[in-house]
Amino acid sequence: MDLNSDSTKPIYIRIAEWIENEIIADRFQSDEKVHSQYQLADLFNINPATAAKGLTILVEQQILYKRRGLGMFVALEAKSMILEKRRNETLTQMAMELVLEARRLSVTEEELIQLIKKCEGEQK
Amino acid sequence: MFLSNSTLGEVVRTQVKFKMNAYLGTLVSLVFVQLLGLVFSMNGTSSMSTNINNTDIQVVVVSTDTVFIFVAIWALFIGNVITTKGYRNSNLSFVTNSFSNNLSNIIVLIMMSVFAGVTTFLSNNILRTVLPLFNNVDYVKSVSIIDDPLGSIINMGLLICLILMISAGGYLWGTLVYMHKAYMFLLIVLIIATPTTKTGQMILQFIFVDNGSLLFLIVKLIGVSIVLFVLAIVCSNRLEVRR
Amino acid sequence: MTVIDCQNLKKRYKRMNALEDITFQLEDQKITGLIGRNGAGKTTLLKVLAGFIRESSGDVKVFSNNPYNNLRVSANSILVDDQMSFPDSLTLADILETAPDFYKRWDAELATNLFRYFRLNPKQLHARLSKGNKATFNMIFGLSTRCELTMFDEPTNGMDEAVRSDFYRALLKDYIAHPRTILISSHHLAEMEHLLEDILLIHKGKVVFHQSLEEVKEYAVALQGPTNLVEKMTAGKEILHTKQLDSQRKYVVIRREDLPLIEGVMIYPVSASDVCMYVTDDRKGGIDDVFK
Repeated sequence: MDLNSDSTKPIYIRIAEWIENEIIADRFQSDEKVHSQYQLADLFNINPATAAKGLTILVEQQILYKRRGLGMFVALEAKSMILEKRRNETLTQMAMELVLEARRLSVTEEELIQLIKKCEGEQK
Repeated sequence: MFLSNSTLGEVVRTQVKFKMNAYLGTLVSLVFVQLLGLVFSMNGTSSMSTNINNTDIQVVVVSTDTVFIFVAIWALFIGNVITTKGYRNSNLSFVTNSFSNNLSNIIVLIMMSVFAGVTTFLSNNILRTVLPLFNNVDYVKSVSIIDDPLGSIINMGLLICLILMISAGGYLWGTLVYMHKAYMFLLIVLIIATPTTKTGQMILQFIFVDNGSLLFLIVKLIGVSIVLFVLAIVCSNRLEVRR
Repeated sequence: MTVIDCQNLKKRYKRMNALEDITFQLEDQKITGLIGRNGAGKTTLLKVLAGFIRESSGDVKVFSNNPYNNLRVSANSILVDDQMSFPDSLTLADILETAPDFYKRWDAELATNLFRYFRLNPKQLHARLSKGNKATFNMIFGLSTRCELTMFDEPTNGMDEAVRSDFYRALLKDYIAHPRTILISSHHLAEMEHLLEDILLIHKGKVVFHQSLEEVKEYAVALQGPTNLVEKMTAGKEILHTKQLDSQRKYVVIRREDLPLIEGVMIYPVSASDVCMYVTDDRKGGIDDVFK
């Protein structure tokens, strides 16, 4: 992941998302220690404070938990929480954008649903 | 947060070591200047010829005064040059403040003056050794350090203090010029004014003539040097660097 | 702990006021970008902080001391800029050997390794170095002092692209290993913003803002679309920048707030570097207006 590429998302959000992706992919297991802010800073060539902010977001969402003096660990239900969250937030957001774009292109609701079904079919 | 605490003494000591290392080239220039002075001294400062029974006797007075004059100009220049922008700025990359910079400069000037004084004094001996090789000389008469140890040491001390005082003058002058370019003319005015005005003559007389002994003169020279250095320190404390 | 504390700091030169009114505080162990346009007063501010020049009025404290002519500040801070010089009689190797006498936390290993990596010649004289190599050497010197307050004034001037990115990487790695207060000035915010925690933006000798980088990135939004729609949306708002794209479309930057989505109007984020540029722009209109 290149964090310095042109993306509209703030870097700390992308850090949080990267850790979430690692958890979803089982590269960080439950109760396993994740990278420290300094490791993340080194890995992504960013300021440690920015990395810390990414970690803090996940702690606030209880995806990670803090052990004093030891670091950040993956919560037991982290993976399912992330999946749930993404379903609710990310997918809704993307659907919203999809609907807007469809309207701009004068694609009807019918056509849009057809399109989604077609994509679904291709993925199977 | 860890802050290192450096005392003034430590910093000055480090700076002296660093500056002696960095200004080594000035000592090379000193030796060059002395050699040049020696060459000019070879012909002597005055001579006298007599003829006794068809034998020509020529008495030539040879002295290292010329060497001293060259060294004096060198001292003025060195005192001045270490206050210039290049020298000043190159110290800033290391730990310093105005006072420690002045102190270390003064110590360096003292060390250089001692070196210059001793070598200039000894150049007399070089002259004595070299003279017979180039000139048609039969007999060299001079007082050496063995003949009059105390007198020689006082002479050497006098030489050192004179050089120090001149370098102190150069140092103050350089500091003033760094403050304002117009002071450049100060030295020229002083050179002309000192021997030609009443006050100038009185000052010269007070320092160089009214002396009970050479030791007293040494004390006076040191006193003048201290005054010059203190003036330079006071002036440069208000001086901003790397503007 | 507060490393720098400036209150109403002013610096007057003979013909102009370089610093009008600077008030800010810097906490320790942060990398702060000192950003401003040419002539904003960045260099003057850094020189006051380094103790090279004295403030005309106001109060300035570095490690709780006035930095001017202060030995403690000198021993614990370093200003790396292109005016940095060393005695002509010392080679680069001599300089690196002398440094630990002065800087008690000097990291000789880092100095040697960086020196080798950048292929500098130890027998070279500082004054003879090319512009880029001089900047590189000064940077190595500055990093190796490990001073609690390390300041860089336009450190990458003269460095080529590869050396620049190596420099930023070296700075970050060394900071991670040995956190300390780093203040780095530049007018190329974009190339170093990934390193920064905070931004101190100054303009015409005054502090415009002192915020975290993330706050700066969320400071403004840009709207682009049909002129009438964009003007309706931005009416009565603080406009930072406008640009007429063509006869029908307009680009307007305003302070960030929640805006309704309107068909035809695109909303873009504004980069930190653009934010700094827009808020320090005194001109009406942009360069395009010159060519009308």
